[in-house]
Amino acid sequence: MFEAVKNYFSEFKILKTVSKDFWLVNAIQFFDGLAYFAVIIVISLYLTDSVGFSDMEAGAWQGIFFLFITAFMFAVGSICDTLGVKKTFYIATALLGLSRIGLGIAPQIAAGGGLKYFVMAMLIVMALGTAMLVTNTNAALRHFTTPENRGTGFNVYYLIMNIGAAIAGFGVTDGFRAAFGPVNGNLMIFNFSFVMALICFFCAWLISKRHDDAAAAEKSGVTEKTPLQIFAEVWKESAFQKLVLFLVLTLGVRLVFTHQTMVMPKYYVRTLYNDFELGLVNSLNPIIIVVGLVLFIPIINKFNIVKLLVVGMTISALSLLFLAVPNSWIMAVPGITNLNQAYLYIIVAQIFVFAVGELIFSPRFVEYVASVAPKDKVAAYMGLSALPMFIARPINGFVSGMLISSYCYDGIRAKIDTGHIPYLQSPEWMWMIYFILAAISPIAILLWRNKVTSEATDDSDAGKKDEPAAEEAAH
Amino acid sequence: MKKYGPIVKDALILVAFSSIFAVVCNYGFKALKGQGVTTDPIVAAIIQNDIEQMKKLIEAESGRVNNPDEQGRTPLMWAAYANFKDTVAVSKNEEKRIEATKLLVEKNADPNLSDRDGWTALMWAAWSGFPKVAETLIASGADPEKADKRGYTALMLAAMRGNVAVARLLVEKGVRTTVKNADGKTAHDLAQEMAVKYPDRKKEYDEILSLVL
Repeated sequence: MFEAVKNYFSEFKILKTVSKDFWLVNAIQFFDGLAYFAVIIVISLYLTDSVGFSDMEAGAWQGIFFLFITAFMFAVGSICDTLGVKKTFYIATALLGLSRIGLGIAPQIAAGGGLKYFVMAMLIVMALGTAMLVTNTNAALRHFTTPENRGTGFNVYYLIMNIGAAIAGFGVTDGFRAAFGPVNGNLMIFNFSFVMALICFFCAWLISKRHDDAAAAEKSGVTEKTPLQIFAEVWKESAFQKLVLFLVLTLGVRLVFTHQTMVMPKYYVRTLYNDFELGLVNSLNPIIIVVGLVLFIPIINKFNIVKLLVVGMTISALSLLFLAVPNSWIMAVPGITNLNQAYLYIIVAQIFVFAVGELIFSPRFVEYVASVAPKDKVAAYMGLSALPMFIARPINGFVSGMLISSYCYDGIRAKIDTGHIPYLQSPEWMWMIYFILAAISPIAILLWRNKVTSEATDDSDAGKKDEPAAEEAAH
Repeated sequence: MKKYGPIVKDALILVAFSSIFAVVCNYGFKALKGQGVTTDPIVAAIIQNDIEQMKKLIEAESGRVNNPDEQGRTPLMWAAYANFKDTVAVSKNEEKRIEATKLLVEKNADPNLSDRDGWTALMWAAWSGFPKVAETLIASGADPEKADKRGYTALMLAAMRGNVAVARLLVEKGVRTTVKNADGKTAHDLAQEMAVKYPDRKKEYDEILSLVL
């Protein structure tokens, strides 16, 4: 074990050669990560408790928020390249700061329909800021590293992002909710995120101007294709069609990732209590991912991609079973005496098992996309691989809103306590529905294995956790 | 400017497509869902403990104070509900909720309406641990002995949740302690059962057991 840790960190020595700007970009990533992940944990509760959205509307607007992030990510890449790293960071952090302070203050000074429309507008501005920041961070890291230290550079970025996500949970989210109460605490998290945007703006100011000049020189004379042009070129290719089939087949299990932000926070506070430490349980996932990355990735990398994909997806899907079994079964487990313990037990078990599946599945997913793409079109395939999620995320937003309002509404715990909720009307049934959707993915991949793997061209890129992987993990 | 042209065009196409997609999804799911698509603004103001906003809304449309939501819950039931582990948080919330409750009953909110499962506002107050809200509701005519569809009364709910102050209030109001629910259990049985399940709250349950003997 000690060897694995030593080996993982020994490669970081190569980063002695990177410029201070590389670390400034990572600082931006860290501070924004604190803000982004804390906001994401509480956003569904904020929309219902502070803005007055119904569960249905809150789910829908979370879905729309993610839809716009993906849409903007398709569009802003070229804009970031043209503006340069520094200016793009200025604009992104300004947009994030403006939207976050708007979202934090608005419920205290406005109410009703006006507040709702303002919040909707601010969510779209925040989506644009997020898309610009993520795209620009990736571009900046590429720019501030050399081909020799790039892989390690992105590993550091991924590590810092997960550390930020972990602290955002137990530190930021739980800290503010404990200090100011669940409703006002959520507002304070938005205000905190505004401060983080200011710090990111300052970090951007410290980045050397010469890099932008160099980037502009690098770019001059290069005509890059837009995402829509790339799509028009590749959509007829059989490799791309097979990739789309693969992506659609894996949607069920990949949507489990979005449940973590869209469904879980409400599930936690409604089946347990409003002042539940939801940040702490959200920290468990990144902590497990970081530990797993350091200790197990070299072992996992020895296995075949498709096998790992199926195993990882199966584990991730199975994690939902913990939440789907009737709570009377959990109450029968020795040592569990009450319903609070039963819910805590299944929540922690689901997070742990899901994280193990994610650890195996997520990096392999990116490798798979890279392996089926023709060598000259890897970047295009990578970019377009977000398309099915682009469609599925908002739909999942609406679906999650519907399911929450029917099976996990505010006040359901009181009715569970008194035996009013049969299994088919319970939160456990909601998770069974999600489990069935998720379980389709590994089964479908096994059944269609020949179709989706016949185009796998080369595994030589396998094992690299590069920029799109980090992007996928971030959102 | 030339270099920004195609980018802006692509961005506009994507944003337009996303917006149309979101609008279509919204209409589709609204049609599927029907009731419960929006939260009553009065309920939203109660959840936010925004009494001023609540006053404004009730003044504007006092006829809506008894409007039920998807689960059959009225604004008065929402005012009587909270789910906190921390007892200090419960008390803090009650300070706001008592104002909301008084305002609603003043505007003719019916304290005896029940939700889909037969719970009244008083039952929600008993479960949530709001003794002052419960007192206001009883003073406004709430039936303290009403039972839900499974035979649970407000006293049983207070007893099983370890809410001593509400249980004491109900006993003082002369509520019968021998009533049984659909499972044949009295408030005493429920408190005894919960005392075993939640040993950390033994003190509260012991107090309740002495009240509902």
